[in-house]
Amino acid sequence: MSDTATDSPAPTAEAVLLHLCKSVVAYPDDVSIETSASGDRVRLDVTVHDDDMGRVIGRRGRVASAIRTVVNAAAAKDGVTTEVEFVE
Amino acid sequence: MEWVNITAKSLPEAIDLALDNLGVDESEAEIEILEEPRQGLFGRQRGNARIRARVKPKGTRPKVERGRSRRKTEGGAAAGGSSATGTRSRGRGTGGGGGRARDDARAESSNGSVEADSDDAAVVTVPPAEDSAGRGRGGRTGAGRGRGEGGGGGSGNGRSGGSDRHSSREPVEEASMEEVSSQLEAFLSGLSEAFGNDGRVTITSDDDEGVLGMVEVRHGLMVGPKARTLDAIQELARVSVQRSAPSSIRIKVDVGGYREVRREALRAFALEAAAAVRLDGRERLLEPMSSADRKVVHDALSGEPGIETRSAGNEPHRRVVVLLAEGARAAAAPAEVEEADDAPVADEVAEVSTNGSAPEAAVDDVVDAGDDAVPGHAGGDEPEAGGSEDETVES
Repeated sequence: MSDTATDSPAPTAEAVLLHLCKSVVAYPDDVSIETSASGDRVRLDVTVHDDDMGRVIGRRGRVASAIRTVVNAAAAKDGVTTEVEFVE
Repeated sequence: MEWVNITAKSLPEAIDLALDNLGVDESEAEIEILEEPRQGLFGRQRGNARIRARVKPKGTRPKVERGRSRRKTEGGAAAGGSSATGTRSRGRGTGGGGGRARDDARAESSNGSVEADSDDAAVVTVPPAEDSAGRGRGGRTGAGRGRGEGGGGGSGNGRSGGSDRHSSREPVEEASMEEVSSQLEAFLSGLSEAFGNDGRVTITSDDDEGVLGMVEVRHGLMVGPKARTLDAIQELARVSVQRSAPSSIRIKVDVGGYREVRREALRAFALEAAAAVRLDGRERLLEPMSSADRKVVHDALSGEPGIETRSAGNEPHRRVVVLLAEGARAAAAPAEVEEADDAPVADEVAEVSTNGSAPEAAVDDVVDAGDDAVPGHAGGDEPEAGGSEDETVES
């Protein structure tokens, strides 16, 4: 993951999130993540191609919640908790 | 493979139940809709949804292109479930869906496409039908999907066809084992690296078992409490691989051999519960488990003579009931418990409580509970009948 920001408050979580989103969508190049931290809570806003919104969310939010689960596990390594939002 | 029949208020609900029961993802299940709830006057619902389902045998039509059209359909579960059945359920699936859907089905098979119960649906492709009937629902491999949606709404045909056509940039042909393997490898390896590991991944593929991706490092973070993280990773692996390569190949993910260790413990535990049931004829109610775990138990005991397993209760408290098989039960305990799913389970059953990681201790509990259980259990402790049955079935 060369495009991971090393100064991110949650580098592992971010790398994992980026990888997961890129794996799931049809337009991986259009995936971007914006990170904002307050204390040990890190908010990760994910933007994907319009057509991919359904993919990252999935039936009844299953994909989205799977992504959140895995990203949160990764965030433990960074010593933070994460909040992943998929923004339109 | 065995079919399970499910009746529920709505189609999505029935399909969810069926998938839980089978312990597989909907991409691995084959579902036939036997009856759909009919819309009564003023939107009131009459009748129940009845479906039957089984684990998809190899070579069935894969589900094509998940996600996109589902997002557009309300009642996506119904659509997804039905489409998972692919061509097989087509004729049947529309049974309750109203005249129009059925006509379409006819028109389509007369188009020279797949017959309703062709088991080898995977190798059959729908010809590029220019006929309006076939076209309406995206006459290519999406036919199975269009069917499910049409059945669900009765009028959803045109729209679902549209979304299928819309997505025709997706590869249509069945992905090979090699493709699935290399995609799974890329997914897991990248994930492992993102987690800060070395990215070493082993992929094993087997025609019957599907593809297993193993992250070589035993990384606790990637397993998570109750393997929740691992399950999430597996789900994402499926989504990821099937997005780019529609496939009926099963995909499993493991980290550092965790699953095999756990499965082995669960199997041993199930076998001991079965032994306890044989001993006194009383059914054992195992602790609530995930659908995947329940499947391990069902599978572990499917070959056990004189033993039968069922699932009872609702998620997330659904649990396996281990009991004597029909024949054995008749001999050992006439007038035994009927359908486990209908009966209030706690009554006559020896309650089993385990902490999955320690099956030995758990099985001790089984035996204890059995001994302490209320007497007067319909003939369950008739030692002679039970004993002779044991011998006959085991020989």
